[in-house]
Amino acid sequence: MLYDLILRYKLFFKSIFPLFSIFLAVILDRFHVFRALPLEPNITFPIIYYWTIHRAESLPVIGIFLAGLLDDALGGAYLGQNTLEFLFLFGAVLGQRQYLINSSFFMGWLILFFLSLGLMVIEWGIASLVAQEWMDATSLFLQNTLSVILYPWLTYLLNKVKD
Amino acid sequence: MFGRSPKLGLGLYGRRPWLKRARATFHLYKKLFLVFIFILISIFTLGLSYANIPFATKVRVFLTDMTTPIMSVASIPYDITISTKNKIYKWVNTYYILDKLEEENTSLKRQLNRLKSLEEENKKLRQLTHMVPDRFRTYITARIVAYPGRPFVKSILLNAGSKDGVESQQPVVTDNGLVGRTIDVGMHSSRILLITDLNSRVPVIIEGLNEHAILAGDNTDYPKLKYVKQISKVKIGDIIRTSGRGGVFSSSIPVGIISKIENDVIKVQPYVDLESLTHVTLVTPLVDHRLIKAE
Repeated sequence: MLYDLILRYKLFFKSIFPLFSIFLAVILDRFHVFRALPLEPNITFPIIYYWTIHRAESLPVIGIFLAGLLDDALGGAYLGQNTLEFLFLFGAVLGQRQYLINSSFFMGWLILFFLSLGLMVIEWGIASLVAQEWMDATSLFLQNTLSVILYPWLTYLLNKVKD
Repeated sequence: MFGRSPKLGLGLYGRRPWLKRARATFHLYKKLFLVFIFILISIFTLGLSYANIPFATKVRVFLTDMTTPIMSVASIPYDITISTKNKIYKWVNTYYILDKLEEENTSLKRQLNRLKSLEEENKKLRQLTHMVPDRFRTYITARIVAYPGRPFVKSILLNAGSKDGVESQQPVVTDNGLVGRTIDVGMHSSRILLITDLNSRVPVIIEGLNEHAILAGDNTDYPKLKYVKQISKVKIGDIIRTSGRGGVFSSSIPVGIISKIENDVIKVQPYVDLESLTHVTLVTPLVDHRLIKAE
């Protein structure tokens, strides 16, 4: 009986953990955790990428949408901006999930880098459109690249939690 | 429907593996369709937010208000780490800090004596001219609970809102100078638009030249000075203060110094290190103390 209950709770936490970790990443991204670095990495999109490959069934679309809205609200961006990026990433990975599950880690890492470029184009495009001038995308590129560099460590950590 | 068949003792998919694949494909396309719908909703939300529709602002304020308590709690370990780091730094550099403080103390005492005599003189002059008493300001100190985290956004979130007396368009400062102004104010939280943000415009004056200009943020760490008439007379190191025009910022708040002049583009280095702020002070609107006396 007790074992059944524990098992049920374990399964429940296991099913909500991917979405919970995305919300946690959105909150952590708002702190200056990596203050020593000249740029702050964005840990949310590598986490979305990881969970979409490994546990897409535990990620409801509305959850990703709400995480994006929260990111916009906390970060001060236009509402819908990060939401759009998160959904683009989620949709792109979901479409190629079978291929990504079977591919090697390095291939997955490389694909994340190309997807980060796609996200960069969306963010830079929206910022330029709003400002009505071409914005300098260097810091955004560096920030996204730094986030991609962190992916192996995040994968190691999330693999531990997943298992 | 998709459970095991009691008659055959086989799963439904055991006999028809194509059905399992079809079901998985159906679910995948259903989810992708939902993603597409939510992308459209996001674009619509983005449009509303860009058009500054009050509803979008209300949604943003509601979301920040709901999450500010979580952010406050989540930042406790981080705050403890920072304060421990600061304590260690102070402990290691005690002699150096003490030396510096003694020096500063002597200089401040000198200034205080001068200010006292000026205050007396001011009082006498006011009495002579029968001047109406000036209005005064009050201050609210608040903690930063969220940083922008993205290169194209320069705003911060505070844990003080309308319940604490914060209003929209209030100047925000630190001991060193101007930080920005409040934009979205909720019950328990408020958003500060930093002077480096693309949407920030601050009426300023170049000290010494008496030249009025506008400090315009461009999302870099060094905002630009716009509409300067005598560019040739401006030099690196000139001090920038708020001019008081426009009614949002009072006059003479230190803003920064001119750090670079290139191709008629003047860049200003703010006095405040906007990346390492933990607390800020909000300057409340002017209060007429004749009204307070009447109360």
